[in-house]
Amino acid sequence: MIDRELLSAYADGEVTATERAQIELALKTDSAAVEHLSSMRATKQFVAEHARPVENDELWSTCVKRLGELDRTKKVEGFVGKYAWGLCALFFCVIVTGGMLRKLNPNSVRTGQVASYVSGLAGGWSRPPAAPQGQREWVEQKLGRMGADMQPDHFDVVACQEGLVDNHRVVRLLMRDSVGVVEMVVVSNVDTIDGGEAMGNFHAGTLNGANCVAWSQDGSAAFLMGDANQRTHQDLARIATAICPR
Amino acid sequence: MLWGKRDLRDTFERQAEKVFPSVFGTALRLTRSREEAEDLAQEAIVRAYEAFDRFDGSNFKAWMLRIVTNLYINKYRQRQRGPQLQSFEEEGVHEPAAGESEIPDRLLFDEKLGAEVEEALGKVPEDFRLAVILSDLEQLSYQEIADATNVPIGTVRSRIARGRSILRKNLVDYAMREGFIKQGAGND
Repeated sequence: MIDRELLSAYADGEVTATERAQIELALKTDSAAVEHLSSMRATKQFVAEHARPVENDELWSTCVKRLGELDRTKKVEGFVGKYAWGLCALFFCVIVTGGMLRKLNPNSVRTGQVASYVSGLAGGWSRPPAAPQGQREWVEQKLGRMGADMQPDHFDVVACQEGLVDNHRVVRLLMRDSVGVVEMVVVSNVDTIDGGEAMGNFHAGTLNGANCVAWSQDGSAAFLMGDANQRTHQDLARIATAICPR
Repeated sequence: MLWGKRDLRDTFERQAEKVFPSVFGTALRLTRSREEAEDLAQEAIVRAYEAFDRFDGSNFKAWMLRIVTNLYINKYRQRQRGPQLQSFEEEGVHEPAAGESEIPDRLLFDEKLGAEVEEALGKVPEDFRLAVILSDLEQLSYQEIADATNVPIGTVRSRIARGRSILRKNLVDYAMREGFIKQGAGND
């Protein structure tokens, strides 16, 4: 009998011309081969007709979604890959320019720097004398000219922290008035204040979630901060006016 | 690149949608687990899309099935259990006891046979099954099957012949169990 692998290939039309001739000759005399070939063809056809079709609509939709995600990811990666050098250069320029500007004008302070000045204070808190006169002198000693202008009958100074940060003398005062506690940070050797919104003689803004009013006076910058939930900029400005009458 | 990005995606989707039943069907018949077949089919589509700009444009279905097959062989096969190849390669295949031409005529009447066919197919050892699926269900040529499975064409020929014989035996066993044909009828 003919080799069954050859018959199977013949059933699939996958034989050479020589093999075909050899098989067709043999099929004329070999009834077992004819039956085997017939059976193989029938099995092939039977399986092809009866194999179950599979439901795949939902899965295809999922695949299309994944292709969409893949496209989006590639788009972002492509953009970043293409312009990464440009973004890096831009950031570098911003940093360098910022540094240069700061060097060119060391007597300028940004409202955003207040937190770093405060965190740079290493010394502990000191408390003022209880007597009003003693307290006035104590404040004047801490703040110099700015302290001399303050009107302490509007508030009590509770505590003070001071130190030298980035070549600026920094004084932090905790004060209490009829509404609550406010904090004042005075940075010396500062001519201009950057940031915040101009509001009369003051700059108003928000620092770490607290309202802040800033002004410059006698070569120092003063920042007055209060709880944002309790105090508006106007309240702070009113206190500031009391501290810094103009 | 042959196409623009949007065109590439559209062209790929159009072609892939047409052959997706074959992709998923083959994945399902190979893994015999719907969950794994879904993963395999999805992964194959993603891989194919990523490599579509390198597709030579000849036979998309054969190319897709090649990806499915290679993914299955490289990633999923080790997880599978079931009949293995070597025993049949070494010992040969026992031919069925029933008459060669008897099975299909008797069984064709029953529409419920789909499940039995799938079960019979699932019992065929994996490499033989893969060759039979690609040949008889997906109509790939021997050369395309050889390319997809990374084996010589002679091995493909052998696997298809043996796979069909085992499949036929499994169907005969079913037919005998169900009484469609008599025990020992038409021995070779």
